[in-house]
Amino acid sequence: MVPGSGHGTNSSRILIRIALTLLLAGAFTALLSTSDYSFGAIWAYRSLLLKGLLLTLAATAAAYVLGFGLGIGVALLRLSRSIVPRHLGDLYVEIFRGTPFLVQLSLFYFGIAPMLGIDSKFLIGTVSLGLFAASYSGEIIRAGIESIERGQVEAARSLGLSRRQTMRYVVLPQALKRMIPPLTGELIALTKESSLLFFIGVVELFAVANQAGADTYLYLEAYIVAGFCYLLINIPLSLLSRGLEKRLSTSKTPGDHL
Amino acid sequence: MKPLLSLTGITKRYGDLTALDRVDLSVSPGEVVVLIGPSGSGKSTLLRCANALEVPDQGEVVLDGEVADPFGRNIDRVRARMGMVFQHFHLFPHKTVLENLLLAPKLVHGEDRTATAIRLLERVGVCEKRDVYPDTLSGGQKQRVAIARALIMDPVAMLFDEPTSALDPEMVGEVLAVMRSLAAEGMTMVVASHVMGFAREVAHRVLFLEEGRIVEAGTPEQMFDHPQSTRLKEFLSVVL
Repeated sequence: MVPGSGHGTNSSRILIRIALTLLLAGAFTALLSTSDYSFGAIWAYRSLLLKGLLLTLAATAAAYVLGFGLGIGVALLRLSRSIVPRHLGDLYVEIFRGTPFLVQLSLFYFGIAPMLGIDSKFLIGTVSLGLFAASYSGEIIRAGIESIERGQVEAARSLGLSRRQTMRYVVLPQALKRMIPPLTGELIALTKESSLLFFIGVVELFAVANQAGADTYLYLEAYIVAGFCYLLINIPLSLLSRGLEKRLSTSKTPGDHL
Repeated sequence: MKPLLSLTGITKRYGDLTALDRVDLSVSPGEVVVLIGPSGSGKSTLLRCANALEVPDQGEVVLDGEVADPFGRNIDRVRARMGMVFQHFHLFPHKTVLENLLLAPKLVHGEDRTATAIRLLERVGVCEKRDVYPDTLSGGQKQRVAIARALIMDPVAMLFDEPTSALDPEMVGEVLAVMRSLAAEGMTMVVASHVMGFAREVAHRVLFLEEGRIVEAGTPEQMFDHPQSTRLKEFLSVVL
């Protein structure tokens, strides 16, 4: 390879991306300026919007952590050698991945939460989102673990490592590396999904925007602002994910294949 | 002499296929046994049954007086005393060469064997690579590291499963050289190999397997110069 050629294509790619972004932004501004959009009135809602944004971040982060923890459990169930836990894991994934989150949220809010005596809408929404997230995280974790080739386990066991040590010191470190990109994708999806908490009355970003729209009759402006706020969270995450993916793919992980 | 490693009546089936059919093998201390035979004859399966990577349907493995029960509590300890070298190396890609060696002694014995590790890496000639990750090594270097990784557990016997079959031809020699020196030091070894020259030169005993049975066994001279069975004669006429 010509020295620096990789660098050249890289920076030209970034230039193209910036140009495209500017073009889109220009087109968007032009579209907005042709009609009577008025963002001034929405500006008055900035502190409420910021609060909503923070609540969105908090709910997403909490649900993600909960989903990851439960996801490990789901993955372990699905990887179990016994048939009963394996089927329980399958069942969990099928149910939580196969029904809309809005349905799960409604059932949790109207059915299960009153039974358990939980009042906090934030708590109900976050736990429900976490349960939903666990089905996806669990599958990512399971697939990550299963992607590690059998030979790694055999080499570790042949040296006298126990099953647990093999998992902890040989399989998981390699699997985690492969899980990072899909787990980042999962975080992005969850950020967007959290807007549904609006439905049970959690005052997150979308709820604030909706309220601002209702107050001012400037619905479109309010939703556009909300959309931008979600992009503000997700574009950096997406770039991070892409960066990680690139770095992980260039350092060829398994050294065992010829 | 009392055998160091003995396999008795090992039978392994995969569905309708019988990979091993009541195979007996006992290996004396310091003995080098080379398994030859066509692919699918059961050489690898026999080695994998020896350290319970495969669970035989019938039969018993005893290492140095200790029964290697695949489901027993002692299986990790038995495996730790039996080194295994794989066709595809299976080095740990997330660990440096040195860390590849240090992991098992640390976890199994709680010992830091850095000094031993460096001596072993010097011995197999890859010491200058000790701080790199395996993906930068050549196939021959990887396999030499894999041998060192097995040796650091201080095994009483070593199993080699086609150790040179995945290597480029020019790298076969360097790996065989390490194995030759191990044999010369009196290491007990069971080797599945396609390299007949190595078998002739290093083996004390050669076993010819076909369809999961030991068809013929003997010294290298008997096996290569005066084969008895037609099957072995046919096999040798193809590979030699």
